[in-house]
Amino acid sequence: MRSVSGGLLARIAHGPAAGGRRRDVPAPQPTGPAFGDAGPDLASRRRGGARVDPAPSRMAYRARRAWRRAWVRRAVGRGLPAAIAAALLAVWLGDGEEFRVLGERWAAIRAQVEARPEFAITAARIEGAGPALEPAIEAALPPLPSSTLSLDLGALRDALASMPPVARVDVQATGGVLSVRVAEHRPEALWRAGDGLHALDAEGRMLRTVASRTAHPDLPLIAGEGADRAVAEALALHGVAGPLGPKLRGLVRVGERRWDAVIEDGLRIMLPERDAVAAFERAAALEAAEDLTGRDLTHLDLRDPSRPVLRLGRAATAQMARVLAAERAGEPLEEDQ
Amino acid sequence: MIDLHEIQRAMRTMRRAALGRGLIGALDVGTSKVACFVLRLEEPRVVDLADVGPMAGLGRVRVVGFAATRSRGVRFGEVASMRETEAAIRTVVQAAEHEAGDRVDHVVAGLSGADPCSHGLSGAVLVEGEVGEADVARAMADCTPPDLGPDRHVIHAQPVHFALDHRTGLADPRGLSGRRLFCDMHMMCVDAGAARAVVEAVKRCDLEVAGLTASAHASGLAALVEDERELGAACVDIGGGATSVSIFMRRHMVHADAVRMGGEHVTSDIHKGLQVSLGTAERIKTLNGGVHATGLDDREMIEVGGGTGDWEADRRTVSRAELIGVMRPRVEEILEETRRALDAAGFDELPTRKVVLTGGGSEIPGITDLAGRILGAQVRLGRPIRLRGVPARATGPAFSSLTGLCLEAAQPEDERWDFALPQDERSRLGLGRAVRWLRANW
Repeated sequence: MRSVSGGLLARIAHGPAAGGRRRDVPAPQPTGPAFGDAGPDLASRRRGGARVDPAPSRMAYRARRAWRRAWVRRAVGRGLPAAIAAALLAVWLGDGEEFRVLGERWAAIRAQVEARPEFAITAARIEGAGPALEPAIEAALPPLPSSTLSLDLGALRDALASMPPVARVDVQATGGVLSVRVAEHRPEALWRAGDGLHALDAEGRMLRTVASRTAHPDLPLIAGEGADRAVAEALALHGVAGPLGPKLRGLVRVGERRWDAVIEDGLRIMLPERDAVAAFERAAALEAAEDLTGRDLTHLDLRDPSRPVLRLGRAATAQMARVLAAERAGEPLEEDQ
Repeated sequence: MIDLHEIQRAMRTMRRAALGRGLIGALDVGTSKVACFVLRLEEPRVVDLADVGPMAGLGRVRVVGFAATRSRGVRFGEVASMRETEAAIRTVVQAAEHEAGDRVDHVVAGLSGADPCSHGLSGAVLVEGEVGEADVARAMADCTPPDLGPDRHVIHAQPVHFALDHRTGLADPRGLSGRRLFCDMHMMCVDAGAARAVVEAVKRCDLEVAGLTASAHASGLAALVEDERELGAACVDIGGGATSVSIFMRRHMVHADAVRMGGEHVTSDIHKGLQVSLGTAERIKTLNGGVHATGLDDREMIEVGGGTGDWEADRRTVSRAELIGVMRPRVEEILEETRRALDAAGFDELPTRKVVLTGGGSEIPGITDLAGRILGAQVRLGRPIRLRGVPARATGPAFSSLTGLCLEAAQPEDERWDFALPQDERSRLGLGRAVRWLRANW
């Protein structure tokens, strides 16, 4: 009797039925457990026994292959420790208390070092500053005693250099002394503006406001709108004043383009827009030769260089009228005036 | 019209990527062992010896990693257990990567067994004036394959011979002038399921298949010398579960076949005939096996041992003559089947009937005599060509097909006839290709 299992046995022992051009030979297979070797499949999966499957598990294989990638190695070797360190630091400092304590400790150490006598600054010396400037500089200096470590000399120098009267400043901290060497702008002219009397330097910079003219009797006086922008010309005019100098009251800027020189006793010399210096030189020459100021004139108009014009005073005008009338009458007028 | 070069084209991108990276693996999934080489393509070393040629283009190939393990999931050269095959591939790839110290992403896999079938195709076209690449492509497109039936997979299609009018025997007709261009093509198809199983096993190990080659072709490349490939020779690779046969002529494989028997059947016979364990059978086959018994062999006793605990059984011995008596019929059967395959291919009509035996089974002492009697007079044992960096334990004839895979990976043959794109196919290439790509990848 041929059982179902018998047919199965035949199929297993002899392989699949040969079909097409396949000529199947029964595959080599153990026929039963009669031998010591129970077959490769069972033996290989026996854990704990002598033979363990040498094949890596799929996860182990993937991990090993991933590890061969350079970026994975870099990420795990460097990125991971860095991330862990950052995380630990964040946790430690996270509540703020530790952070504050650390900050305090750091500040204490810094204060200790700063307080050492080697770094101390106990005195300040200011050189070259005028009496008006010195208190301002003193006020700008940091409170003493101080330390060279806490002192920002660059910022201090910039602060001092930004003061208007200061031309150059040099700040040093040596041997416990903070020395400030200042070069001031010299006032060259006084400018009477609408809001008071100002001292200007040669470039027209406003240095300070002056209380009265008598504080600087030696400085030339200028006036008028825009006069501060033409200080250089004003100074040049003063330089060529010659015999007019002692009598010159000041220079007035007219229409922001030309100068009027105001002489004592009410004479006004109107200077041209161009070549004002040359014109003023001519006026000075006139003064030397013809005693300009001794005559009854109100204005000397030099604006047209080819034709100077005189404006006479009241007495001179009357005299002139008499002379002209006499000339018209035909009598020569005796030169008694 | 089926596209004969479809697979080659699909794998070409991956192979290019691997060659560009300079590292590619060769994986031979055999019945008795799974072996892997890791190849590094480097700048050719400058050799100032006058008589050293370019080393057949192999100067820039170096084997940097090798591993082999016992294969448990393959029978007759076909994957029978996906899990076991996958585990074996993981084992060898990991070990070879460890030796190479680098990561392998692309492998060239070999396929033994899988019921290979050769077809000779021929085509003819009219040409005008000089033969160009387009004409060759047309001639190749004219080679219409027979109906292969379902589940067949073309893995090899090479033009082996061109003729232009009366001039025959042309290897490359480009640049010649004539009127009629004839093309002979050798096409080899395998069982699609078996081929897919190998590709699937490799892909499950996170590797990309950069090429699938029949191991018959690979063994021929590695074991035949240049003259034999040129003048005509057969390469018989006696493997574990299958014996692959390939015939080379004019530098091309013109026929391939496989006999579904191999060394493991010999082992199995010993195991059954002498009542010893499979491990012992394999050991005594390797150490004491042979196919010619002499008088001395009656007295040479082999301890077969055994772990039964029964003293009588464990001290058992067999004589070498007995062992040979078991082995010889099976080896003869293998060689006779081989003979039948060669006869079917018309091997007798070749001018030189040279046979090269290689594969692990060819190491049985005395097999050349036996093969000479069955296959013909000119039989020699073939060992694979030596690649640089191959360890000594991987230079035996058992590693012929693995070495051939390396040659195939380093200088792929299908690249040469790459332009085989028929004209009418080119027009619908753009959109159709995009659709195909999307289907394949999403």
